[in-house]
Amino acid sequence: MTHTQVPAELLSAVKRDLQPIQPLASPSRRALVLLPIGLMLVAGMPAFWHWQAHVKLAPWTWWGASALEMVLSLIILAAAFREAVPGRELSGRKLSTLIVMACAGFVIFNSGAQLPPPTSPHDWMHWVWECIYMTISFSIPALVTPAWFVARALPNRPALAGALCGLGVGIMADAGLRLFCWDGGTHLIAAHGGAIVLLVALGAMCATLVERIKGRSAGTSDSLSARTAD
Amino acid sequence: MSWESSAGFGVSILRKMDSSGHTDQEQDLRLVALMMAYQRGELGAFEQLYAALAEHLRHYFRNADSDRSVADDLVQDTFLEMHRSRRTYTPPLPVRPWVFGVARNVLARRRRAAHSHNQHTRALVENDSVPATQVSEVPVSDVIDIEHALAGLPASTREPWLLHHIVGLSFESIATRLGITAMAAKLRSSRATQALRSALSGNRKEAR
Repeated sequence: MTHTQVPAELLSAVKRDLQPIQPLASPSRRALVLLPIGLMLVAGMPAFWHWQAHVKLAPWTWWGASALEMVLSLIILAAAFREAVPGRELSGRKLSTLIVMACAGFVIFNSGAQLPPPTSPHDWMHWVWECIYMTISFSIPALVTPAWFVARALPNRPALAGALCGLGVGIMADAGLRLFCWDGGTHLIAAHGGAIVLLVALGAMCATLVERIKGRSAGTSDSLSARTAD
Repeated sequence: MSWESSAGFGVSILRKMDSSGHTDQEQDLRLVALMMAYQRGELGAFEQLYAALAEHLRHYFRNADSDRSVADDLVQDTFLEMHRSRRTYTPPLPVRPWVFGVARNVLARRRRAAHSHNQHTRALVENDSVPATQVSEVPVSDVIDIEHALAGLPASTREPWLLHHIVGLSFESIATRLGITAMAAKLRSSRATQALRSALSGNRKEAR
């Protein structure tokens, strides 16, 4: 049986809310909107935690590496916004390229961090928690905007879109963190890498939760019929 | 069938089924123009999009989901979601991948909802204290037949039937619980009864 006529209840629901709308900007444009947030993370984090003295001592090449890391984070965020649009999901190849790029970028940009980690395990743990705390507490507000961008779209894989947002923001925060925390080795992996992993998990959790809530509030055609009947 | 492959299947049948004589490219351009007009707030464009895509979406849902009775509901949900999320379409990208992306999202939501309803119903049935006398009056062979027949029913018709005939809820309560109208609950329960009747009569004929 072929139905080409729009069902009455669907038509009335569409009529009720048929205003001209502006399509979402392209993913790369939306990622560029986040540049000020990135700059705030790079400049604001050392200022907020009183590490400006270290930042002033950072060689210019580190600033260059931070700028490149910022560009990498914007590419990842653009990919997250693209992933959130129906029909524009990332292919397996693009996704794996992106993850390899993120990991390689993190390792290469931090290769200048040559200070050995503290010898005492207590100090090591202390510095790890301090770096994680500084990064997470400063990045969570920065995660809100990309998460909102993802929530405005309709991701078919919300956990993945959210995880990419978390990864982008994590790399962005690392661009600032690396300017004042020069410890390398295990500290770099556990603290800086750990903060990024936590942000990835947080992003995935938030996006999944928002999508579930949106799904519940959206309802179905059955509830549409009920509302129309009322 | 995975969602990705079923979406690909959806797009391919859409291409094969274009009987209007337009080439794929012309059809794509027409859909883009309609989508842009719809984003500008033209109702006629929505109606034309529905005419162009509804049947293909119905085929997609019938192929992607074993529960064929809900395909019409899912098509309606997809157009409703397309309406809510119409700003996520970026012209002049092809419309069909976006539409089937929305359809995949709707299908995933429906599956999640069905899964949670199933769990809820199972918990209700397990907790429900059906009087022992009622149960003992039914022969064991009939109980097994009914169980088999129930298992063969789609979840959307089985749940209202179970909630009404086993748990003893009114159609109004079932409607509230499942988020559907009382009429829809009654209709689905009735469909389930008919399906059970035909399944059980078939079994008995085979037994003779």
